[in-house]
Amino acid sequence: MSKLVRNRRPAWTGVGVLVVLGALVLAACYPGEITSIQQLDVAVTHWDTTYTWAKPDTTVGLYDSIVIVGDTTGDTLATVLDSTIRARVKAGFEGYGYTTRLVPTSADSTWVDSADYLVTLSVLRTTNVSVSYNPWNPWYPCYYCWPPPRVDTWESGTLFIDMWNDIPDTANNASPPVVWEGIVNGPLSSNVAVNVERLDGLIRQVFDQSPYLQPK
Amino acid sequence: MKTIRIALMITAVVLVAVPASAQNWFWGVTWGLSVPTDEFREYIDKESWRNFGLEGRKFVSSNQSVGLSFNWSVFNQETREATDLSGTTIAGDQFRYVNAFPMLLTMHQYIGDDEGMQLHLGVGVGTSYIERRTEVGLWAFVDKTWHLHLAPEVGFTFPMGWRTKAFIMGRYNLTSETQGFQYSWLDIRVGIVSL
Repeated sequence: MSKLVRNRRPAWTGVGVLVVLGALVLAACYPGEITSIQQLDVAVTHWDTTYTWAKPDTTVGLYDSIVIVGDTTGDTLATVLDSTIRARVKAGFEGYGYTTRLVPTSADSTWVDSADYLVTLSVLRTTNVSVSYNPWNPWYPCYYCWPPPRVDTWESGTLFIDMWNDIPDTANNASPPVVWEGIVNGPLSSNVAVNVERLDGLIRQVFDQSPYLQPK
Repeated sequence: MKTIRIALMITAVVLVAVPASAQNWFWGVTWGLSVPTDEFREYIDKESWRNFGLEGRKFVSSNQSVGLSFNWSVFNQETREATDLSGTTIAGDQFRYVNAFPMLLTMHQYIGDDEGMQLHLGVGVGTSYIERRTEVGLWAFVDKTWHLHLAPEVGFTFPMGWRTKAFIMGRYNLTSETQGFQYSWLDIRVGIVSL
């Protein structure tokens, strides 16, 4: 049997070309790209795995105001979203057979005690800043006119839907426990209608992925 | 386990058969298809054409070689599948990426006349650096891990002239488990060998 190779000198040029072509085939460590703002939306639910949602506890007290954290001065976004959020959360619980009541912020403990669960809503608005540098100088050979870093800012919003059990933890002198929490998060668009549509879909999603909320 | 056993048998055959006689080199570049299997497939179940390999082999006899193999395989998938953890469910577009860099010491046995089609059986052992990145929403979860790597393979070469040969190979890649995750995938590659 003869050996595989006969020539002593590798065809380095050919190998080099193929290496470059191979690298081009890979093109990027992270192929694919974000093509719409909706692709950055997230719906997260977190629940107490030791808790059972059981009848006859089917009354939910939903606070009629939303706590907003962040600067909303002169901003109509929060107002527009407020009604969307409350309507969709109300529909979500009612979809599982709960009876919902709006709880005035000033409600006394008697009023609150009449509900089996309390639901609070809060919104966090955050301004994000990122700084990136272009590692390639497009102005070469003018090396001293290196382009300035690129600074991007964007705003993101997070909605927290917290479902509190009505039984206080008296043993630890603590507040009633949160038995379920839905969180939706995403970057804010300058188009309010787009934000409303996305928020509506995300709140639907947190209920859709929580079938255990159905009282048994 | 069955795969590891077969790979170890191939390794033993090649090791026993290697005599020490320095001869020529074999250089090659490969490109082709990578298909995730087993546990890895539960994370990304999409095949990838983004892989690239360099092969360098030193013949120690007329039909045996030892060498090095460097590879870069990129896997990616976008999914809207909700992820369930203990008491937490996350839903949203997920961009999953795995960049794998196996670095292997290889041993091969060649069967057939080098003037025609030649079969080679071999195995690679070494390590691999793997970066797994899951992007969801505005967050990214990144795991960077090193693994032991075992890769049995079978391939064929065909003369092409101009001091080159066409090269086709199948390689099964299996890593050890690190941080609770084990990777495995099948490579089917074509390439060119420089003589």
